[in-house]
Amino acid sequence: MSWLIWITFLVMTLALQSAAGPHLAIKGIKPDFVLIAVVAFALRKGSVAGEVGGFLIGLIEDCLSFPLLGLNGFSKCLAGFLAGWRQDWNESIILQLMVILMISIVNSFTIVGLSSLFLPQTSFHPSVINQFIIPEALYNVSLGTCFFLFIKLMLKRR
Amino acid sequence: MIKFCLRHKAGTLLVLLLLTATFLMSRHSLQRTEIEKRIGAIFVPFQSIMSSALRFPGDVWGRLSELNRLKEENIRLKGELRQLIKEKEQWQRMESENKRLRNLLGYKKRLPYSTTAARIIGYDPTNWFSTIIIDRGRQDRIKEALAVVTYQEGQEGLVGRVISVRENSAQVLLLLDQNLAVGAKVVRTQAKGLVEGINKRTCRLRYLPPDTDLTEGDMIVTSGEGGIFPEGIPIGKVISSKREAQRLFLEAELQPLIDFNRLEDVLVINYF
Repeated sequence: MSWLIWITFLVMTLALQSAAGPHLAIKGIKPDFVLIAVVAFALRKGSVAGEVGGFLIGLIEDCLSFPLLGLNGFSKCLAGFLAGWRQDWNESIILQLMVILMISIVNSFTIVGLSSLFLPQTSFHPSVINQFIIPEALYNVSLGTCFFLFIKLMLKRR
Repeated sequence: MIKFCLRHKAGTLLVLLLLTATFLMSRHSLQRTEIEKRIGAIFVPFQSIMSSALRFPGDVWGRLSELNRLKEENIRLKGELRQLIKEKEQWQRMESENKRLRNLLGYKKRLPYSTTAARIIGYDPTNWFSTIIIDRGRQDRIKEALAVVTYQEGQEGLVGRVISVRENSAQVLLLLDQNLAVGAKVVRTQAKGLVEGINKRTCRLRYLPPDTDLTEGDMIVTSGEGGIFPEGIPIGKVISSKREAQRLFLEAELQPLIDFNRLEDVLVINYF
């Protein structure tokens, strides 16, 4: 996919996250479409593109989200970097889903940690892992399957 | 240093970006800056497009669900309507029956004879005889040859005569049957004759004196002769008259006062 298509893809994913995220929440857990898209982008384009793309899309997300500018920029940048770390992760869909699982967990911990650091009223409680981080990671993996199959289909057509 | 950075391009860029993000976070404020607001504003159309795109299937689904709901409601309402129509018909039938029975009861009280009210439970299945079965029999002291009358829509009239009695039912030969003959008279002139059925909707008044003054619409009642039918029970009205072939008697065609097709309840005159 060309860069332009990837950029449009990332932007539309953010729009999808903002429009459909709340409707797709299961017991209060929303999927992170943007994270899945950043991982997919980084797996294809490598860690440099992944971290820059993740940073930029994360910043836009911050502009639409709670006013802690840089929070999602930071976490998505890290996610893009990690996902693009090894090109061979892109070889099978199982590996891709494992990457999503791990990066979702890292992303959540990053957000929780940075929030605790920069927002004094926010505190980390271990129950967040069971109640939020793990379910969100599993939700992302299940949606990631659809995402990656869709991307695979698009690439095959081209 | 520069060589290191160039060799580890991804790592260096990562550190720079993370530091930028950290710097931005450190300047955290609940008030959005102008740049943040503008970026947010730029993104609004994308959000709007996506929101509309996502709402479309939702709307379609919602309408389909609404259609299904309306379909189910329609089926339910049709069922209720059928039930209500059925209840209305039942109510109308009961109202009509109530009115009929009240009229009959009033008539029964007015009659100077002892009577037993009965309901018709069957009709003669053949075309050759005109009989009915009533739900009163020997148990109710019904006997053969008793006269049967009724009251229909404000009009009393002769129905026929009991010809056969069982334990709980009795058979009544109707006025329309050719096997029944009733002594009758013209109310206006008191001229006497005999009414016979002709197995049609009308009956015939025979053996009237040839000089009888008879006009259309003349009321014919029972004469009381023969001891079976009490005197004065209305039978019918004259519709036409003619002389018999031998010119010995005058005969007339009568329209019975009772509509035998709508006969439902009758009174059996026990004694008079």
